[in-house]
Amino acid sequence: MFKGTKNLKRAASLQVTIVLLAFLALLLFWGILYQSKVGVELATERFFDSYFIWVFDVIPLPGLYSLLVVSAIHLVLSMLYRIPRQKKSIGLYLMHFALLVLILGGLLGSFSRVSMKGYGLVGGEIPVVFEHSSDEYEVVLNDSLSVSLPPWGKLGAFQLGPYDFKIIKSCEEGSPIVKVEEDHKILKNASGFQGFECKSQKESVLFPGVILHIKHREFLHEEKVLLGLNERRPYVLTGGESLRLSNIREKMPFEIQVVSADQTGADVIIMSGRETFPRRIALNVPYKSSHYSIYFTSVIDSFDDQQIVLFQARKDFFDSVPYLFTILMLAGFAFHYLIFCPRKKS
Amino acid sequence: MKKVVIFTLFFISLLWSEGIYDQGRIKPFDSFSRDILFSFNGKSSFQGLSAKELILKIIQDPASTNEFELFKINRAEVAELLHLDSKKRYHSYSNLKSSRFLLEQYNERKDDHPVTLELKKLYREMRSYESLAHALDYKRPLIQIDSDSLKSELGLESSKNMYSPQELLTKIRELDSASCSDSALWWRDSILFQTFIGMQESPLRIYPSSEKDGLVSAWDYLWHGKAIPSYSLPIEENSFRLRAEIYYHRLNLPQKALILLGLAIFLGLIHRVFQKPWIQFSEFILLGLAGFLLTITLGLRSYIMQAPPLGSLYEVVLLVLVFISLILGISFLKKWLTFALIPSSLLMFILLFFAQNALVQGDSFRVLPPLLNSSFWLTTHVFTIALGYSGMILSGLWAHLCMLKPSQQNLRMLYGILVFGVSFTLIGILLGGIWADLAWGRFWGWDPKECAALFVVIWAMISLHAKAGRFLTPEGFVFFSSWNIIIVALCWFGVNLLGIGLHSYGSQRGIGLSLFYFIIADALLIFFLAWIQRRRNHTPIE
Repeated sequence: MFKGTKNLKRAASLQVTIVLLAFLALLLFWGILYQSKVGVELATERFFDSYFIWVFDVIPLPGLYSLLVVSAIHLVLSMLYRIPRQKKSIGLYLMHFALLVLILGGLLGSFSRVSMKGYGLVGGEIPVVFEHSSDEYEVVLNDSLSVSLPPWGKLGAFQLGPYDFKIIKSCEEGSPIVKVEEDHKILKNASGFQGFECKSQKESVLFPGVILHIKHREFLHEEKVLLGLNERRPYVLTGGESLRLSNIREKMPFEIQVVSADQTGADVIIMSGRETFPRRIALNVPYKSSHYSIYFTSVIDSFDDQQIVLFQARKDFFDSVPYLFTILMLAGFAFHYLIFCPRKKS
Repeated sequence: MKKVVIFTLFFISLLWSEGIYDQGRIKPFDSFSRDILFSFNGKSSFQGLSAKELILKIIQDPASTNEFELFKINRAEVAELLHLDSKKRYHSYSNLKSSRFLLEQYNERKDDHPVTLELKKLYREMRSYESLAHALDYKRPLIQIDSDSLKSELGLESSKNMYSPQELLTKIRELDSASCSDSALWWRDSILFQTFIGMQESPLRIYPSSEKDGLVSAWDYLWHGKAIPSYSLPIEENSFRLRAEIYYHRLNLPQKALILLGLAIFLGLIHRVFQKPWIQFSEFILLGLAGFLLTITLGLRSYIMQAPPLGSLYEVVLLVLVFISLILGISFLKKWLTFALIPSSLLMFILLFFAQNALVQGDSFRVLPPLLNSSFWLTTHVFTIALGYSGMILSGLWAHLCMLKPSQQNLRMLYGILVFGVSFTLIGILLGGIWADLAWGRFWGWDPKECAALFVVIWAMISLHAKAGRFLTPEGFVFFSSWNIIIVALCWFGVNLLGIGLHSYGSQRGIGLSLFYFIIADALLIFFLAWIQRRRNHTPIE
């Protein structure tokens, strides 16, 4: 036990602090230089959004997450074993606790944070749709029931509402076929295509698609359907329900309808619960609510003379962590350097 | 004679209005001219002509200026490539025009080879010259029509053969497409195309527009079928600001502050010899005056741009200099840093010299990018970071002095200045994060400038923790802190050289070499001072 405490105290020492800070400084320096070489996003992914940096794909060096985990442990140990427990140390405790909050909040936030892309028609009645910026897709029935699609190429079965679905074919890059032989014909498709083929080589028109065999459990009616990702209209089943394939859509706690837009922003109506209010979402003026941040990206003209407004959104349950860190850190500074600052010895 | 009168009236009106719309703002013709001439050859005058006189001459009489050796070519291989005399530094438009095809080819390239970059720059300058030379083409009788039948169809005067686009446009708008001849239609399309090009490329946007922001050119009026006013209307709300900008450039207060700092250094050296209090006091007054002039400069810039003067690297450097002079002034009055006046003046001189020569490229007034357009947060974030960097720079300077004059008091001062600097740098980073969260939806984005600012804080934290744990002797702490100036310079200016990230608005040419020389010089100075300290065998600081 005594030896364990001794080791813990060693782990809490200032030497470890300096080593960790030095590693962090090195990581930042290296990361900045790497950003100039490959761009901010790729370098951030490699250095600051990872546990390890693989040098020559073989040698692992600590990435930011590893350093943060070790730093978090070190901070706890420092507060337990190193920083003296006296009134004068309140500031130090606050500053170290602030760092701990930032590290833990940042780590948890990075796992739970979701980035989304949104698009809405100007003057349209349908609210802005927000889809996850990931490679995950779902099949959605009547815009209410949904199930995630298994990885591309894998077959499977699932149920949605009163229907049983069976995946006959799915591919990430497929090419639609306008006319096929009778035996291979897919009878139903929202755009009128009769077939779908997975392509291994890149051609001009490729999109993700899935062929489903659908059977109504009560009425035993069956149909074979092709759902493509880039179809503008959902497919309508015989029972009248709509069916579509899309990126995973976020179910927001509010709805946004675009009234008008220009190059710098969009005027929208936000419906949140029973409240409805107008708002402008513009460059430098995002809309923030319930851990969501919605910000304006651009407005483009679509081919049928309608304007489409593009948004980006983030969902981050830990978005208040930096503010908490700021308050704690400033309080710590004030306590340590102003209130309990060292007095001159007479 | 009539043409001469028209041109004279035009230029009188130009000088009177002084307003021209360029790069997103209305600026005096004086600033516009300086910017263009600087881009050509890095100078503010040419053969006795001021920038304004030269640009007016190019607009008014391009035939006479085509032979002016205005364009600077830095690399001999570029001159050779263009079949120009490689021994000459400056070349004329006529010389460049003969190699136009080659310049166009190089302009399409995507590589970053220095020769390619210089050729692209030359091409841009040549196009800029051409846009000035052709700005008044709408009034010039450049289009020849000999056919009497065509003249009759277009309703032109039969007594002459040369017509201006302005004359032709008035006539061709009245043409009935169904009944006119093919050649008349051809002339119509050709003139309209020429007008469209002129509208896109004309630099002389001096006429008010009811539809667009800012001002428009005469070509714009012609394109919309409107009569060009005989003189431009004065823009009342801009006239005082335009005058202020002209006087700003004429007074050149930063240059005067630079001279004062030079004099302060000189007086400081005199004081070292004669040790007279009044000389030291004069040195302090000069330093204070330099700071005052820089404060006036920032105030003027704020009035001219109608925004806090914190939108460019140049302005932030000026702000840092103001802070340094303020801190030094207070310290001198409290008798803390009296012997630090010479090195402080020298540091300010170097920083201001660097700012004036590497950061000011032509027109130093630039419109802030929309993404950064948020007055309150821009002000608080940049102000605090500038204060923090001032503290870090001063701590580095103080560490240099501590190596010469080690003592407990100096060490305590160093610690105090370092804590001041790192505190405000950290507060500045936090304010920047809040601003980024409110404006862009994320507190931290691992932008290179953000990472670099964090690096400054971590560097300072390493030294503070090492001192707290007594892993560094006082001499070690001083040596470590003496690198603060280099660290701040790298993180502040060096990151801009990468030219990536959201903060790349501060990216400027010509910084790299200056920064490199400064770092080498300061590093050598640090090692030299450390060596002196060891040789003197000073009593270690307890």
